[in-house]
Parts: sequence; structure tokens; C-alpha cells
Amino acid sequence: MSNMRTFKELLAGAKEKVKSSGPMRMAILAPSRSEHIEAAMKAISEGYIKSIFIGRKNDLIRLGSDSGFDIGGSEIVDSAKPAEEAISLATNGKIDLILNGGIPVREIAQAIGKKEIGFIPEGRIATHIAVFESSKYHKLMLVTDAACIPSPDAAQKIAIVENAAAFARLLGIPRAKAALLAAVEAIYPAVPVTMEAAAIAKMSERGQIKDVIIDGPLSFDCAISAEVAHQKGIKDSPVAGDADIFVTPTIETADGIYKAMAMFTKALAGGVIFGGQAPIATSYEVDSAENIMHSIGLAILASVK
Amino acid sequence: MDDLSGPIHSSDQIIAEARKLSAFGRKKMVAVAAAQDIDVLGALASAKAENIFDATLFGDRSLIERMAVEGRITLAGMNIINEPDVKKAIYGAVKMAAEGDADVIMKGFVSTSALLKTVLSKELNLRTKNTLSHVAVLDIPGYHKLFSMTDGGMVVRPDIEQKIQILENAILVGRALRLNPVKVAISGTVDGYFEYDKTALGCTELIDRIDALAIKNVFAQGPLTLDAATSSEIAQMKRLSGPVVGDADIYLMHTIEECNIVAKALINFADAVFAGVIVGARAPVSLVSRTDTAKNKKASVSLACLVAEYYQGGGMGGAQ
Repeated sequence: MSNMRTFKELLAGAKEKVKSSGPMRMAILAPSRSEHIEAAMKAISEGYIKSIFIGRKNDLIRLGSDSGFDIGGSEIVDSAKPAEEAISLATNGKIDLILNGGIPVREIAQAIGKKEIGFIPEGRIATHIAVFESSKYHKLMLVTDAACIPSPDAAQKIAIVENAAAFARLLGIPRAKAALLAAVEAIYPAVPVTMEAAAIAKMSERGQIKDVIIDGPLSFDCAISAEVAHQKGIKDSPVAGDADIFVTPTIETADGIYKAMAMFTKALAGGVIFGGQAPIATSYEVDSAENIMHSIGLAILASVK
Repeated sequence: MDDLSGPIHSSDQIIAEARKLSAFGRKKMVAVAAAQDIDVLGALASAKAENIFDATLFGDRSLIERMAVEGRITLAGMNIINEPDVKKAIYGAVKMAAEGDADVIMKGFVSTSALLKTVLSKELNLRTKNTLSHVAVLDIPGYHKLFSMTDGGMVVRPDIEQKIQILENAILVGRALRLNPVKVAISGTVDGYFEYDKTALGCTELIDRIDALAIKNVFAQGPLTLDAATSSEIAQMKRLSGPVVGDADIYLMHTIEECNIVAKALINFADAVFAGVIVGARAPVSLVSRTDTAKNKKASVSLACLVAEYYQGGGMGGAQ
């Protein structure tokens, strides 16, 4: 598979995948805006998915008709606890992916994190990966983690990188380059984030972390520009200026990047929670129907089906 | 100063207002610590050409002059005080501000920490009760006002006391931009839904403390995500209301990384113009980076001049 550089290529890849697998079964979880319905209907009409709507039946039908779509003919699961319902369907293999509509993403993250439900296989983690396509960067940007692990420690950060690298492989990037972001690119004993990033980068350099190339700490401008990195004295980084994956130190940071990109730039965006029994396409209030379709495409590529 | 009124809402206005100060006979003097830095000299020359301020350069005269020739930078009207020893150059610049002969301290070819150590020295008495913090004032295309993010440059992992001080410092910058009221959003991931934001990030306690300070015409609200803080439409979708949603002037963030990284996303991808200043001492400290655009550099020194003007108008009172 060739390396995907745009959402157009990515959606083409998703289409290719459903050609052999058949349309995927997608649970549309508590849609709350017409954009959710619009994106889902587009995904259905273009043959990507078969859908199951989950939520209060009357609300769903009303939102459908308000959005100009009759969803009466679709399968509807009338549920007051739609998140639990969707997660349980996914865990039991009844659906292939979930599109989250109006449930706050942190609530989803907390629900899937409960060990007893078995949504996340033993020894794995599920993390949020946001994907951006901007004319100001030469490749897709994967930013992680904006939803699942609030303040990751070193071990969790490595798991976050590995999970994102596994996702990147599904986009045709065999050995992704990951930047561990910090406020500065220098390493300071008094700044724990930089010490931790440096240690993880050293582990990567020594081959302790496989199938991904990690460097850090890198400031955001060094991660996206080799020229800036060079000016700031970072001269032989395998990642600076060419990062695929951008790992933030805290959940608020990745969330802030998502909102900044989606609100104030022309970048295309999408997001997925990856690592559980079924991928969860995410949507935020800032997302257009087009961006929600991108999230669905990401989830299709991430699905094991 | 009748002509200086009304809130400042753009980076162009920051620069224009600093120029106005000169026109009104309140031109600011910038003391540069170790001025042998070509990017700093370039920024100074372009601001000087527009009559934004006067500058005194402490540093290695021969190096400064050589750089000016090589960079085709005109140093006309700038006073150079030859001080090849970097420590002494820092001391000279900071002392000039401490004695009231300079209004703004600017970082040249020295480390930030060496400069700030001198700024905080007991002897020179520029220290206030507050910690030093960095305020990044962003002019984001698509947002209807300036958006000040803090602290992405100084305090690594602020505790609640430091967050209060960082906020007070940012409010001073807001006052210098003549914002009234000043609306403060405190960052979080999910707009107050979860215990994590309220407890781990200390949002509830922070809001209580800010309210208890009863700072005149300051509204604080949080946790708020960036979209809820800057878009009332999105806030409405999230069923959030309050004085700050969709209209924040200041965004108080929890770690240096969060602020620095999100600000750089806005600067690099949203074409936001950036002006930065270090506040918390009796004189603002200005620093420009090599990688700043010419406009960012000019806006940064202009902002420092406006902050200095505010201090001199007795503006340290309220929040200090």
C-alpha cells in the first residue's frame, strides 16, 4: 500500500478496503447535529458503511428529519445509555466501528477504559489520534493524545507512540517519525518533560522501541521545520521537520491543537480512538460534515474487519 | 492623553499605539542587554525607523557595528555603550531600567536565565511580589480580539499560587491593552464535565481564589476548551454560558508545554501574529527570537512599550 498524504487518498484507501470487506457496520452514537447525520448518510450512500443509529428513537428521527433525511428505514437501537450500548455491541463483534456524535469524548474515553467490559484487549491501550492535512505541511500530521490519557507517564507515552505508529502503518507509513513535543528543544534537568522525552528518544535510538523513529524533546516549530530546527541548533535529528506523529505531554495540549487547527486554519481534520475492539470515529462541535467523514474514513482503515 | 483610549484589538494597533506614545511625548527608552545580536539589531532598527522608541545598546561596540554593516542595519539615533563583558552589559541595561532611565529591558545575545537573574537581583530592586511570567498576545485571523496565552515561556509547572500570579501578570498586560473588562478563560479538556479538570487542574479552586481577589472588572471562567473560550456558537452547542465563553481575552493554561505548543500551532498554521513580553518585574522584559517574523518582533517591542506606559501611569496598583 502506498503512503497516504491527503484525506482524498485516505478516503480512496477506505473505499478500496470496503470493496473487499463489504460495507462496514457502523454504530452512530447519539448524533446531536445535522453534520453527524449528513456525514453518516454520505458514508452510507457511497457504500462505506451500513449503519445502526443508537440513542433515543424519537430524538433520532426528529434530528434526521430536521437535517433533511428520513432515517426511519435504518436500524435504530432505542437506548437511554447509548455509549454503553455501542461499546457493548463493539465488544461482542456486532459492529465494526463507532461514530461518536454528541457524547463528550472524555466520557467515551472513561467508558471504554473500564477493565471489566473488555473493550480494550489485555496489554493494549486505546488512544485518540487526530489527523490533519494542512497546506503548510508536506504530509499528514497525526497528533496524539487528545482524549484518553490525561497526563501520561513515560511508559504510557511510549505506548501512545507505539499505538500511533501502528495506526500510521495502516496509512501506509511503515516506520513513522514521531516528535515528542515540549516547550523547548533543549534538554533541561529542571524541566521534567524534556528529560523524559530525551530518555525515550535514547531508547528509540538504541532500538528498544521498534518500528518507529522517535526524537525529542522538540518544540512544535522544530518538529515541523528542519530549517527552524537547524537555526535552533538541532542539526541531526531524524525527525525534526519531517514528523508524522506529534506526541503532546498532556491531553489539554493535544485538544488545544485540535481546536486551533479546526477553528482557525483551513486544515482538514479527522480523529479516531484506536486500540479497542472497534475504532471510534470522533467528532467535535467544531467539525464540519466533511471532517466527520474524514473521521469515518480513519475508523474504516483502523477497523480489523 | 485623550487620543489614547478604547481597547486595542489587533497587532497593527499595538504597533500604532506604541508609535502614538512617541507622538505624545511619552516615547519609551529600551535598554538592550548585550546588543551584539543581529536579529535584535534588525528588530530595533525597523522599530526605530518608525519612531516607535529610543534604544540604548549595552554591548560590544565593535561587534555591534560590524553586524550592522554586514546586515545593512542602520543604528542611527541609537546610543551604544561599549561593554564587551556580557555580565556587565546585562547589569548596565537592567540598572538603567532600575534607575528609571529606561522603560523596557530587551534581551540581546545572552541567555534568558542570565538576564532574568539580574532582573530579579535584590540589589537592583525590580522584583515585585509576583513571579516572572511570559504572556503571548496573539492576533489570530478569525478571532475578533487579541488572545493572550500564558504561560508558555517561564514557569514550567505552576502551582496554584503561581497560576494566580501568572494571571495577575496577564491582567496587567490586558489593562495595558486597555481591556475593560478583562475576560479570563482557564483551560481544560472538557468544559467542566469531569472531575479530572476540576481537581487535577485545580480549576474550581482557581476560580474561587480569583473571585476572592475581587479584581475590578475581571471575569474568570473555566475549565474551557479553546473552542468554547473563543466561539459563542460552539459554547452554545455545548450548552455553556457565562461572561467569558466565546469572548476570552486571556487563556490561562496549566503547563508551559500546553501554552507554548498550542500558541505555536496558531502562529504556524493559523498565521497568527505574535507579540510576547515577560511581566512580573517593575519593567517589562522583551525578547525576540531568531525565528520570529519581522512583524512579530516589532509587535513584541511595541507591546513592551505599552506595558511600560501602563506601569508608569500607576497601573501596577491593582494586581500587584
